[in-house]
Amino acid sequence: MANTAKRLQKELKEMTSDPPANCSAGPAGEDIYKWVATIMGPEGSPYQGGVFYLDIEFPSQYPFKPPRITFRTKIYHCNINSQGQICLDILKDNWSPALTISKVLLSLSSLLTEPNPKDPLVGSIAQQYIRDKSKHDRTAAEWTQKYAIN
Amino acid sequence: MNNFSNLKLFPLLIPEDQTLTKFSGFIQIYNKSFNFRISMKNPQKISTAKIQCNKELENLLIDSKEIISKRLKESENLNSFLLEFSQIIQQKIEPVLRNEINTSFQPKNPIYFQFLFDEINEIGWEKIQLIDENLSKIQINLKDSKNRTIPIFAQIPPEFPFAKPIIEAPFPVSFENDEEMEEENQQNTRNEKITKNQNYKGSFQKVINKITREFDKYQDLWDNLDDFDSNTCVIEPENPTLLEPSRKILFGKHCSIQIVFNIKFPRSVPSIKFFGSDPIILPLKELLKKDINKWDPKNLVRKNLEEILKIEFPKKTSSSLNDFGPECGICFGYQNDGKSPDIFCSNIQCARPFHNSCLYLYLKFQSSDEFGTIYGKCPYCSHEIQTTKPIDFQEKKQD
Repeated sequence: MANTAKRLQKELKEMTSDPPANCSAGPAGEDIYKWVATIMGPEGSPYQGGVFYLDIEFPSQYPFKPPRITFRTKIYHCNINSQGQICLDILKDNWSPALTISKVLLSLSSLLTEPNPKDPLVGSIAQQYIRDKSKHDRTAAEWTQKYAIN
Repeated sequence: MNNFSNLKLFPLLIPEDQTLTKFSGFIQIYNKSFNFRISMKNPQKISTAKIQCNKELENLLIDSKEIISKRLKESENLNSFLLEFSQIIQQKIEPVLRNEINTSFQPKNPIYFQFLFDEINEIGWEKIQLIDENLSKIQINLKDSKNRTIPIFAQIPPEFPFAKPIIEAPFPVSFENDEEMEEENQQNTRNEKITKNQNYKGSFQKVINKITREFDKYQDLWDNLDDFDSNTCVIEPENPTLLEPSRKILFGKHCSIQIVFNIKFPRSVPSIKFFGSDPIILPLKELLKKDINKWDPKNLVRKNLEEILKIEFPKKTSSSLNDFGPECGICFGYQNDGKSPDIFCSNIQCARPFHNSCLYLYLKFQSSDEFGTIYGKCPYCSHEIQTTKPIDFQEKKQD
């Protein structure tokens, strides 16, 4: 598994030298397999202004298996549940070693801009998103204000 | 019999629990203590014991495993085994300790320093790059007629000046003993007989002059290597020096070309090997085959290659390395167990390089192999890709 650690070091180097917009990530402590990341709520979305913390855990079979990512900051989003688990195809069946943590964070950022109510993790929020988007956005903005700002 | 009460000779070994089947701590031999643990299934049966020890002890006992397991079977109790065990360690450690003393301190004859000082004065102190703390290894950086650096290493034996220093020039070719060198040897034999008061003619400077002259003979090779190093993106060797007569350079999309120079005729056609996606490199191979007669030995190798292949090798820039780098698309590394990526996606738009072992592991997660070949899709472009099981795959899985 020495190759996993080497690849993670490369990703970390790229993350620091060429960080993706509005995201950051790095090891939580001395363990290179456990990272923390932040995503800034994208402008124009109800999450704007918020800072969302995430936990990333790399399996020993990384990059053959996807990283396990959870939101540590509470968020009102139809693809993210109250435990912070995320429903995103690239973190499950569509994972590919071609993806990097930087690309995954960008995908998560665009998931915040464009939720995918067709494949929801929280059905009620998805329903609301389809039927009453403005109410959805209001609640999402309230949650952002409450949990993701300061 | 109680295992514990008998362990007076090993005060640093402590039982882990009341069953007295596991002990851990240190075993002390001479002034060294080794971390060590022994565990048994049954306190009466020492033959079932398992031993764990730190790396240092493990290395020391690497070829004593057989005798240790024999002693385990023969010993009546833990104490008698430990006595045998410490004997084995003792035998192993004695030569090591002796060596340590040898290398750490070695009194030298005062004329050693006097002669060495004279030698260095003759060479010139500005050329000395490095001297170790024992004053026995010296790196000298010479300059050739084109101001290129030639690193020379001199190993000075403790018997110097009565024994000859070993001077190494890491050259691509060894230089034969010619008359001058013969004379050198004779002079050194004579030196062994002379007493310290007789004047000693420096031997360094002669060898150095000789090396510089030899080095100058390869100017054409150095010119070609320098040309590659400053005008192309060299990926192998990692830190190219003039002493390695080959260059692997990156061009186009993840492709590279390896050139091994003909040392005697550096401007002649070198040995050339392409690495990259087939649709990109096959036409180049054809072109090379077709137009090889256009090779002009008056030109530099790079110029010849660029003209025949009708490409311009890119220079080393960070963007050429990032976007079209030679690294494996899975582990993101270039060298993996000394191997560079050897499989390339045959989709010309993708052309991504992979290590055989990385790609095999990846494809194994998707499908099973048929008769040693495994088929799947490129993780980047989903184009069909295949590979075979690496020869050393099984071994690698174990570590």
